[in-house]
Amino acid sequence: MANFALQLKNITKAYGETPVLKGINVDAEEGEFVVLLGPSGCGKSTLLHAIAGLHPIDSGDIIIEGKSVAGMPTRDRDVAMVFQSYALYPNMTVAQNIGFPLRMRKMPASEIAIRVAEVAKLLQIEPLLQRRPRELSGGQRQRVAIGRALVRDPKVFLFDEPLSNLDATLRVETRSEIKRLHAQLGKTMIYVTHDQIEAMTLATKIVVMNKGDIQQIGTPHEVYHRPANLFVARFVGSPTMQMFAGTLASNASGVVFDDGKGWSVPVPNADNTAVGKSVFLGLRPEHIALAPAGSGEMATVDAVEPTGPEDNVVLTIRGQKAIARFPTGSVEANTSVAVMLDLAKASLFAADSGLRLN
Amino acid sequence: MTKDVTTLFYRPVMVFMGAVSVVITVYVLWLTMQNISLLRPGAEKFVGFDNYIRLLLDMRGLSALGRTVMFTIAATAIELVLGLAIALLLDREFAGKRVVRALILVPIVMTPVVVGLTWRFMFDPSSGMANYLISLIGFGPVDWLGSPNVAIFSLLIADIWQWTPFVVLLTMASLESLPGDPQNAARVDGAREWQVLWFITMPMMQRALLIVGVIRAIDSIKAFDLFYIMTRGGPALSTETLNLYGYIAAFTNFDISYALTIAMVLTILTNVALLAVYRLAFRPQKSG
Amino acid sequence: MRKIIFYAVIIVLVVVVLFPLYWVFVTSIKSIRDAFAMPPVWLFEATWENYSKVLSNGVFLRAFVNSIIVSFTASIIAVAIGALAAYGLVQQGDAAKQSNEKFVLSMRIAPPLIFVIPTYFLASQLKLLNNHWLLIAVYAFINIPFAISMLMTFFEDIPRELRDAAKVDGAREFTIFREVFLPVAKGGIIATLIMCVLFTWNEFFIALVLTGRDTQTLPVSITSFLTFQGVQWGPLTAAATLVMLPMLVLGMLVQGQIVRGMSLGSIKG
Repeated sequence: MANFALQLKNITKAYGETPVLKGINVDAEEGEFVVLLGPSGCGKSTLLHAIAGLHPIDSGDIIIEGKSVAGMPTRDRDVAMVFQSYALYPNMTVAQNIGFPLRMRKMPASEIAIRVAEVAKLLQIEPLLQRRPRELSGGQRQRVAIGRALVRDPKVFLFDEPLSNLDATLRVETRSEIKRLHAQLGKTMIYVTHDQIEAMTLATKIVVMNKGDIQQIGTPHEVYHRPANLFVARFVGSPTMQMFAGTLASNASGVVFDDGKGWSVPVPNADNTAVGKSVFLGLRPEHIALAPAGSGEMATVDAVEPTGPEDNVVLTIRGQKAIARFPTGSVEANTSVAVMLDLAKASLFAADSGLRLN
Repeated sequence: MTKDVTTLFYRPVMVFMGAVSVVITVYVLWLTMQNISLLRPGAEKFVGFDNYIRLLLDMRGLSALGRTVMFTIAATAIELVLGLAIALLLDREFAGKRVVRALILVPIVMTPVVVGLTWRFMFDPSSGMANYLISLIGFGPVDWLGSPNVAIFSLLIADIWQWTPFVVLLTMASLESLPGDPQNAARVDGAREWQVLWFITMPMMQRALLIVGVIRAIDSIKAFDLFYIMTRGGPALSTETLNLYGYIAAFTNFDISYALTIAMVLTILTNVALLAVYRLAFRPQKSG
Repeated sequence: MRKIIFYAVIIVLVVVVLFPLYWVFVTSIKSIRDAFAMPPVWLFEATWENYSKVLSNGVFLRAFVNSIIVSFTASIIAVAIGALAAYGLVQQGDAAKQSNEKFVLSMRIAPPLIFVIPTYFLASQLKLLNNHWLLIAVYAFINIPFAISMLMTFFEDIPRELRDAAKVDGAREFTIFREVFLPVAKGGIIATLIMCVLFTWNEFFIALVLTGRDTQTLPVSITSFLTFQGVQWGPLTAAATLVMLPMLVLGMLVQGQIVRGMSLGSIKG
């Protein structure tokens, strides 16, 4: 039986008439790195604040290491949080900032000094200990914020979009730093972000949210390769999954995707109760490849957008638009090329409900 | 749960102050319905609304009210216009801007009593600067504080001197906080500066000007210090505002109940005026 | 050319604004003859006799001390209570904040006459008319709504996440107030304190009614120079300068925040 560090059971919350969380159920095992991923306004930050006890919930329960904390004030929940704006105390030195939570727990000063030194060493911020937050760079402040969270050794670590205020290079560096810390310390971490690359690189489990609902819970691989619905398929991955509109039909060989204009492709493992419905066939851009002339499908190249390592190419295939990723300079605009669609990797979605059908 | 603790921070204070205010208001109301006069202690009796009716028929009181209204409107209007003009003038980068901003504070922080005394000195018929200055441009001496026709205007001048900087500073702060983009967009669209000012800047300043105007108006109604020091309501009652009349009723005539009646009426009228102003100010927003 | 006109206007403005102050000060260091000379004397020999008269006047000196005691004590009390109240109010919803705003406004509308008379009554019954604490209590009461409004704006400038972080770190409300809000808002608290002192020091009406022989504050005692024999302008202007001087200094100290103070927080300068 796995040890659950955190369990969220049926959490609902509304601001007046507007529901913000509509029945959230998530389990996090000890040592997991759970990422709450979604667009702004989906409720992920609210959920994180609710776990910390900074926002009350309307109904449901929050269980930390077997104990229900839903009624408890923040200071008793034994969680630590790293904020988007770092939230360092401006009037205290770095050492005092990191030591603050220990002071609140009435730890003797000598012990605080030892713990602070340990954490400072772990994060390589020892030379900064006597400085004040305003003298530090963004990256340094972030480390201090992480240090303040680490020093207490809490049951759960909460991160609220900690990398959003950093510039691109620093973001990548700090991301690796966080991943390293997780590997080294093995702590349970709940991490909120709208950046799906952060989610993919850091998470052991991704919770995709939209408009207060959970869209999918799964490993990065599952969420990327087998999205549970249209929203997840379009939100994760950049450029997004390309959708071809059509209907589900059946013929002698089984269930096929039919675009109504003569294009018919077999879809293995499709839910055949959905035959006759409108569907979308989804393919990721990297699953559309150049084919030797004469094979595959004919496509016209509408535009080529170089991204550096490769080109994003806007194509029209069978009358529908799609974006593919091709090696740099391999095609030119306003030409025709032959492309191959890797249908084994395709996803099928019902047009009405958005749910996955294969 | 933690919400309860934070309410502890402010509830006791607010409840206490609210209670004191209510008690005072009720007590004052009760007092206005007696006929207490310190000249006849022990002879108080309940007279209901007699004091209010008395005020309604009191020529001196009604003229005082009229004077208060006129003074308030004149002072507020002039201070707003003048202050706005100066603020617009100063709304640019120039050498010494910080110094000027600091110096403008002086009339506001000067003790009003001192301001009154200063202007009284300046308005002195024989040795004051005012008459000296106008003699330089050929006008004869004016009895600034001694002539019933002139005194109220002298007070107006002193009030304008003291409080226009208030309007200037607040208006400048508002001007500086306005987003510059709409104004620049207008310039790009070909608008001349006065058009930018009239069509773009002024509408954005409405709220700030309203706030400043209301604050000045309320303070003008209650104005006391200048009136007491410079003219004490004279000459011949020409500068007696309602507030001053109330003070005289209380501490010169010892007519306590009547004085409180005056104060009560003043408060009620100010509240009504305030409500009216807010209604007028916020209705256009709803239809706009 | 436009620049010259602009600077000319600025100079006129500054002269108009400063002239009365200048005139008061200059008159205070003139001899009586020079002070009343018409046309005015611009160059003269300075004399300090007015100041020595004023500074040796026991009534004036006591009034100075009274002003200091009353202004500072009342302001400190008002700011202390106001800070606590502001901390609580800042966390509340709009309903509580709006009712607070209305209360502050209503206190500002009422002419002091209305509560000064009952207070005078009560004080004379309790024989408190010659007592510093009466003044301190009344001024503190008046200053508290202002202090609350001011401090609320300063507390609102503190990012919400700072308080959240302290809560997550295990701090109780009062600890957050003491260790986070107070130090971070230190400048605003001092500015509020100075503005309360400014208001109380300059206040005249309440002092006029509620001070006794021994507790007179400066604005009241200055009027004692307006005797029946006519105004003693020399000592008067010297006293006036001494009364104003501290306020001018304090005013310069808070110039950054004065707009916020004068508009009760609705306009942030």
